[in-house]
Amino acid sequence: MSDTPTRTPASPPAGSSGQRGSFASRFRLTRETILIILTLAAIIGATLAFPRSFPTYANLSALLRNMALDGVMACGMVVLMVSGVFDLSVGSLFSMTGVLTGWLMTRAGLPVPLAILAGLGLAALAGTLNGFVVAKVRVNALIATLGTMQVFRGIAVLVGGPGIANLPPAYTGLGQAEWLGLQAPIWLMLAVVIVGQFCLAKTRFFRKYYYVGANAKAAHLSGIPVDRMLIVGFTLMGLLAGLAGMTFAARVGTASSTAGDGAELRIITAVILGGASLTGGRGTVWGTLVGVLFIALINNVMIFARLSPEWQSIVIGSVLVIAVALDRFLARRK
Amino acid sequence: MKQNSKNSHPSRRDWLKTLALAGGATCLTSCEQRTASPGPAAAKADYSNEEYVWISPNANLPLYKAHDHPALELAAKELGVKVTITGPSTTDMPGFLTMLETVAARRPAGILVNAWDPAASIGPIGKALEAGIPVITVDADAPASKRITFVGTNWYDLGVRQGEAMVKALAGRKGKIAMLGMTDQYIDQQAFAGFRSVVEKAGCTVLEPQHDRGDQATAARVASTLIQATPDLVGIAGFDSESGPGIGVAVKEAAKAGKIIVTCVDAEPAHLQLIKEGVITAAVGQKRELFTYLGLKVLFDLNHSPVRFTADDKKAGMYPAPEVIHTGTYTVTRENVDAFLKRS
Repeated sequence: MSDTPTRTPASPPAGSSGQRGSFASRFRLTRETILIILTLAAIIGATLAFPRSFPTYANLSALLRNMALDGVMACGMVVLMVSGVFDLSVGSLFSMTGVLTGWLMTRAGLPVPLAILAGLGLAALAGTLNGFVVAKVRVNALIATLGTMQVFRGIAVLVGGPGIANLPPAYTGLGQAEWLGLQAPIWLMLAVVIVGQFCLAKTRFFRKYYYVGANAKAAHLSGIPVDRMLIVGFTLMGLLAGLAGMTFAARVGTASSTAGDGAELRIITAVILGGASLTGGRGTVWGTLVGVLFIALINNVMIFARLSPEWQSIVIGSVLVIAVALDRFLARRK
Repeated sequence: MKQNSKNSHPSRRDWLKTLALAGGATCLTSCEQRTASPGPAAAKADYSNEEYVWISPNANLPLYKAHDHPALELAAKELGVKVTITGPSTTDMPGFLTMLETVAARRPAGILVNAWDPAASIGPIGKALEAGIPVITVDADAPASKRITFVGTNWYDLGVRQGEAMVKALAGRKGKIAMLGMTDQYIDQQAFAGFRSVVEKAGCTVLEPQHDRGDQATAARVASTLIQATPDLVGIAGFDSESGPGIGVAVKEAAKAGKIIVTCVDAEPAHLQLIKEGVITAAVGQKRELFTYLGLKVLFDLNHSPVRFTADDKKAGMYPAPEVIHTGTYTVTRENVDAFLKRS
């Protein structure tokens, strides 16, 4: 990473959204700007190709609804990736929290608000467990979360079986509610993105994650509690994955133990497309949001274009490789 | 000489002795045959050391845990044999094939293989058979392999049945129909073909199938986009267990329930709830329990059946089991959903 670990925590490293500079330098050709250009090109292209059906409110609403919960989880993932780690268990946590919350309200007879609180508590606890294993036991994040991914999925299947249906209306109403024509998951995503963007760009505590990711040893020597920050980051990720899983279960009216399968790679791809690096020290919430939007948009346009599903993977994978390669090329030239 | 004459002319007592010995031997032989044959006496025999293995990718799939595994254990209890359920918890095919070969190396009494990837399963199935282990396929078949029997759904027929339900619900309406499923799965491809054969004949246009990765969230995402992208969409058919609930959510959110006809496969609680709400018109259920229940009994028979076709059936490639057992399907609609809801 090009970021220097000797900066003070009050001044975040380059690549974070707190960076100051001229208009031109802020809008230089970075991975984020490449992605914005590609996103705009896709929107314009699809509008020209499908003028009657693509640029409609109904399609925009469907697009936002489809990306909403990935967006919520991606906000947690970007914090982790800024600090140089990631979490592969998010998809499993997504389903486990939905299933456990559904089980608590339908089988254990807990009132809906209490079951929601318990579900969120369990999700946060699962995240803390990930953080503890990574930060304190010093197990590599990939291995630790690969393991817990299977543990959480196993718990979901064990408790949920083929799915918990007939969730109480008081609960499903939360996931299906609409305000100003937009469904609850979209509002949830917007709230999480706004809060996340503010925290990561403006608050002293969250900006320390850039230093942890840039050079954990130097961050530790300069007094940053690296282990504690990693545990907090994983706990936050667990909480957001749980929140997304519960919202999905409420939206569909069923807690499925297979929900969220493969979400981890989709989210990590979106965060990297949005400017983050696997080695840490880089990434922003708004860039992540553009990454999530881009993937949702590509999937949307591909279906409009009647292209076979295999093309969706080819296009997203190619864009990921090209965007990162171009980014590295431009960084070297500078 | 006397002795000689006695030997050459057996006495009446000697005749009686010979007859008694012959009768006794016949009786003993027949008794032995009865003991070896199945039936009430076989049930008393001890087969508790015989191990049969069920192996599948995504072995912990809730659908398997709810239907296939309990029925397998039920059959094992009835036969007095041991069963092992194994397989990777993901769709990792190389991992699955390695596990299949490892299982065969343990030399169990028989293997039930859920062949998600029929082509890739040919080799390991053949190797196990060469090692003398009876192998059958359940749920997903590998018809090009040397497997002895397949027990499962006829997916082409399942597609036909869904197509018939779709055409009936459309009641003469024409337009475009979308299909969702695991597009890379052989069984889904068969079902797509069956569905097309009915629906296209009725004058509707069937769109290319879309992949939902066996995930409700993906199914909802794909279906909601299809609804926006296809103004003259009149129906969506789902071909894996997660398709139906995902499509249902998308149709509900687009306020198209009843306007877009939804049919799907499997009748789990989530499907039933959406049928009750009028979002899904018909769900074609599989008799999944029979896959493993009948499958294990077939394998047991392959080891113990007294039926013989030739002097050496193994050498002649003859087995006391049918090559294919189709377990059938059933259709759940709003008319009969209550009966299924009570059961679930």
